[in-house]
Amino acid sequence: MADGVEDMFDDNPKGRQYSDNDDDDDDESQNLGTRRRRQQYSDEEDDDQDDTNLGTRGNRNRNNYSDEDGEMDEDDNEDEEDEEDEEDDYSYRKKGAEKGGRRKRPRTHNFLDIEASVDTDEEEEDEDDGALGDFIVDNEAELASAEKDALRHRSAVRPPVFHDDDTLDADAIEAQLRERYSGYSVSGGRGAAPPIDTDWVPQRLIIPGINDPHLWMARCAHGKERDAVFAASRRVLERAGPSKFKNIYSIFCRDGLPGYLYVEAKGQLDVQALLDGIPGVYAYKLILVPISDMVDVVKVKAHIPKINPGSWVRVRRGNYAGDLAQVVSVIESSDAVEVRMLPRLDYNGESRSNGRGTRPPQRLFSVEDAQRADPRTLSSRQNEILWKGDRFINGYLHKDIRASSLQTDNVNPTLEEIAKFAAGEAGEDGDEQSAIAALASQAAAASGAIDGVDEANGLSARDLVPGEYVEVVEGDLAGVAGVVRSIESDSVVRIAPELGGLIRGVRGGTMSFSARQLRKRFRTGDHVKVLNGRHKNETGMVLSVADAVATLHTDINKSEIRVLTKDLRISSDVSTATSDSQGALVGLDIHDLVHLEGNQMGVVLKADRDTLTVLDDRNETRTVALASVRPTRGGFERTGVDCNGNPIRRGDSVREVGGARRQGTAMQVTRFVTFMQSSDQSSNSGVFVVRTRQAESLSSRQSSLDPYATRTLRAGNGGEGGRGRGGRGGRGGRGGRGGHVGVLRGRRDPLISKSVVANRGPYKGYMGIVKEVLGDLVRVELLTNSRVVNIDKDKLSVRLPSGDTIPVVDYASEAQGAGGAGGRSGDGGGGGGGGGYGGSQPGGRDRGYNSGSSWGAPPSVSQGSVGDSRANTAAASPAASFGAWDPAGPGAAGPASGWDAGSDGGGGGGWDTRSRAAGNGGSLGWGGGGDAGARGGGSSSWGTPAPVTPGAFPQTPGGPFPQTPGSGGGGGGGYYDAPTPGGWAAEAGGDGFFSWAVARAMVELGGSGQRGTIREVAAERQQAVVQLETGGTQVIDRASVGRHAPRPVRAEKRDRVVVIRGARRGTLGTMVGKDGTEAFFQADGDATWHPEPLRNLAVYNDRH
Amino acid sequence: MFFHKKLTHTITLHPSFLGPRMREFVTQRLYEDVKDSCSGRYGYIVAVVAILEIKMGKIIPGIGSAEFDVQYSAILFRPFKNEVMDAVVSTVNHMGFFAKAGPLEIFVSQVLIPADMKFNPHSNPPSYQSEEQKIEVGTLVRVKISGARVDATAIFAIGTIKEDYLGVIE
Repeated sequence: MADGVEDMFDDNPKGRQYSDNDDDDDDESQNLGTRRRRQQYSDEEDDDQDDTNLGTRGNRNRNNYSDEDGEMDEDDNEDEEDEEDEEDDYSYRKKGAEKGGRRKRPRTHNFLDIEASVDTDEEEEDEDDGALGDFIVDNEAELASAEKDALRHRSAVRPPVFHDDDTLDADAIEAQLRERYSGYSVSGGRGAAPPIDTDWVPQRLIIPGINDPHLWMARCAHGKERDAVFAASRRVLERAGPSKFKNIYSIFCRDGLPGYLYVEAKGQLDVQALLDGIPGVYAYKLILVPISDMVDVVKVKAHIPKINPGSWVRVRRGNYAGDLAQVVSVIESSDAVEVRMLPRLDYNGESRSNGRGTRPPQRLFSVEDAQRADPRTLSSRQNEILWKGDRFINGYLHKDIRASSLQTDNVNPTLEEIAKFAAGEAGEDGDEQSAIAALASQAAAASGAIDGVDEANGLSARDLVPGEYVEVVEGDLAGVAGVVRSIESDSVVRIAPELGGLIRGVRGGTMSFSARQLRKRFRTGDHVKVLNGRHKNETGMVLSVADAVATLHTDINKSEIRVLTKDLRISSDVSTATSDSQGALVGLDIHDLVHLEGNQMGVVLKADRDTLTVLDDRNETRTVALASVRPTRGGFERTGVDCNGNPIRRGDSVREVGGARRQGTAMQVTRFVTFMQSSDQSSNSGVFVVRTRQAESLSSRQSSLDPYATRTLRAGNGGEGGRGRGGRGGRGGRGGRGGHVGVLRGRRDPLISKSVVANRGPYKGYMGIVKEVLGDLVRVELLTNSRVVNIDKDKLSVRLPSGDTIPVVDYASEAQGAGGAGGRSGDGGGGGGGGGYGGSQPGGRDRGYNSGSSWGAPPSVSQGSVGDSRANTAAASPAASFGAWDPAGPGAAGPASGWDAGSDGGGGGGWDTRSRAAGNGGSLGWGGGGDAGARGGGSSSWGTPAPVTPGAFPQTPGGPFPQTPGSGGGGGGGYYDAPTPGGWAAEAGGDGFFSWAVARAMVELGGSGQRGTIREVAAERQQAVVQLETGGTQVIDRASVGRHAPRPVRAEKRDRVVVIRGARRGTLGTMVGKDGTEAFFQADGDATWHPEPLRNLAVYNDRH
Repeated sequence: MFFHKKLTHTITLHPSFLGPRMREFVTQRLYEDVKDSCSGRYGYIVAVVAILEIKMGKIIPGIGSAEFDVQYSAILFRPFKNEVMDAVVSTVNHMGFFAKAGPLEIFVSQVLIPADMKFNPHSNPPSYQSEEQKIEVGTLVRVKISGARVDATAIFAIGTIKEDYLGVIE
């Protein structure tokens, strides 16, 4: 493009030139008209570039093509460029040479020549505008006159200024200049020139109208466009004459439109005449381009790709097509780019011979191979090696490639490519990782720079959402900040500016901007999420913002990243970093525990698309394929035991014992290792590994109020809870209470590993084994094909070993303490209770169902059930069913007889199927222990497990157990009586009944199942008279108490009750409600309720 | 900033604790639950000042646990943007340093440290040093909070010392 200065100089000559032309070539008036118009174009181009861009481009394009017509043979430019600069370049250069030659202008003064040649170029450009006329009309006269003009202009105007500057003094020069340029713009040189308002020309004036030549589009063979254009222009040149083809103005083709060429001419006949007979052109069918489209035809999209050194590109064509290359430098003043890439050399020339099918693999240049293959062409200078015309540095092929043959956007190099690329650099120091990192950052910086410069303006409306803060970076209002109100189209954004004064007078307080004028605005401390790019989905806080690039401190890695602001959005959520990767599909997240090969464990540090960075249990970081890890399930319950024997759970604060005494939060706990995270550690985002045994829990989270806490903790918590529970648990009948602890500690769904049958749904009839229970969904491994499927709970039945099935729902509810199960556990024997506590021990856990059945089983119910079973005496149905699905089932018969035997402790023990089945001395010992401790020998009759389980003896704190509990237990005074099944059994051997018996309390006689009311307790509490409901009385004394086994009738809500034990013993009142085993008791005359264990209450019979 | 505020907390007590010492359990549980905890809205609960009221418990049907609404007053600590606070440096690395103001961890990035303070990895312990000042582990610094991220269980703040009167406190 012309400089302003040159313009100044040129305007005058132009005008003069044309005015001269006007004078000289009257006969050429028509042609001149066109030339004037063209002149006008170029003037406008200089003066008002923006406005007339289209026009000038089109104009110049035409010039270019017409130039090429003349220089066709020279121009073997293989890349068909529609880049105007380049072609201008060409045309300048070549025409300069050509015309210089043609005119044979004497070049005498070196300095002047430089000045002049620049000037000449410009002038020639002007003439180029006319040059179209030149070749079309090819008027010798005109050419001569133009030349004359130029010469005259030179000799007349320039010499006085420059040639004779030594002869003139400064004043004279000034005067001369003043004379020459003052009043310049008013009339001066322009006086005779076409009247042009240089300030502004409406766009429509330079758009062709109906009086201008038209544009025809002709079909031609594909790929022959250029040839046809050249042929046609040659025809014009050859047959040049004033008459022929004078109405042809230009011929050109568009690179983007193969198969067509354009001719600008006055009439269709001219075009046909011109194109007729040119090979490859189908001149019979001409399409007239509508005037409105003419501009578009010659519109050149100015797309100048910016390439920064260091960025990645891809080669489009040739042997290296698709290969990744790195820009080394951009060669100024040409559009070539020096890139380096991995050479694909065929040293021996073999593979090339077998066609284009294969190309040699990418490999660094090998001097040895080259030496062997072709030593003659091998040479080197400095650090470069030249071989067969190619240049190699450090093994990379360096090549100058035109930017147009490079793919600069959407390069997206893969890690493998970069790694391969980096292999060359790593070759010497062997540190491949760092080489990759260096390359990647280099490229990122380069592309970042591109983005920063180019695409900061490239913010599109798609990147914006209403409510975002933006600032205006372009235009009059640059610097104004505001909030996006709405997005009006793809590029127009309506924002509410923040400046108060601006809002006035603006419609609705908003203004419209092009998205390109805006930039997202962030402040330090904003929490943002990355929307696109390499760091997609990461979140972090903005540390600083510089122009369009923000520095973030990421939440996950605690590292700093640089991101374009257009890719950010304010967000409060914290990324999981895998949300976009494959990891999300398999449910993996950062800091998840995974199984690695070789029985190792690790935690995920970083998740990429299909690889994971994992810290394994040896504190080593590894990158593994996503497919090679297996996520662990159910981290919730994973605990470890620290060096003090305390449990470590996730989230606990943990310190390393010994070593560096690092402290942190337990992130993942396994039995062997604990993965900890600490902000003090900078490596691996603070994650490190310690052996669980060498860790010490500092957590105070071990709550004494945790109902699932270990027994020791609970026992230490308070006398009441600990002892009471122990005692009751041991007592068996109360096992429900103890039992639930056990169950919960085991925390295993009773359904697991049960055999089930689907009774509805698509899997109806299938049998399987429960693997997992997820709420209402049960994962069942089918027996048929060992597939694990999810089936709703209500579609399943549990298949008992007996062959019976019961619906899972019932089973589960039983297991969770419905009355039925309690009953069964109760009649299963005292063991139901004992086992209940035992359930807390390993034995219980093994037998989830049994212990589960004890859980929460209300004693009253279990008592009743026992009564039932006793009433039925032998193998009562619940007992049978219980036995049926208890592996110790055969024992079921035992209990019945045992009960019949009454005090036959052996029998009782015998049917504590649980204890035997579990065979766990420890558990029983505990159960028995609590019992014995609380009650002495007498209780042991009900703590049946103890006598039959050898393991129990040594552990019994309460002293030796009677071998024959039934008879032997009689001596011990009960701590308190068991009201439960265990309770009355105990009474059989002791004085339990008489410890609580009060008059008017209702009792149930275990022996006969009859009910009655105690009429009186007499003889030093050695004898009681019971009024039976059936009529008659029964006298119970110490001797017969075992046979009758009386126990208090359980109170129900709103019953009149009497407290038979505890602090309020003897108080009369009403039971107002109950919660499990607790009853709420309202004493007569007292408005408040008192919690009272249900077993402390007996129904009070007012009527007697 | 610190606040004194009345708050409520719901405590679920396992049925095994429903007994004579229930009140005590509730109180104990409240302290355990609430102390040092952090809510996004109010910040860290530094201390429970008083328990104002323990409402009548409600049994949760089907579980048997009881829920108690407890009203208590507590001292809260909530950092705000642009708040200036004093903190103790806990970690120093090339990215910046971490400082703790009570339970709050503040990260001061290298970008937000005055340019004349350079990271010196060779000093022991590592530090940021300028002509006259030195920031290492244990240094007391005055930091301005420039942003905070509030998680469910923690607040993480970013601070700056790149302003007047911020930085090392002698």
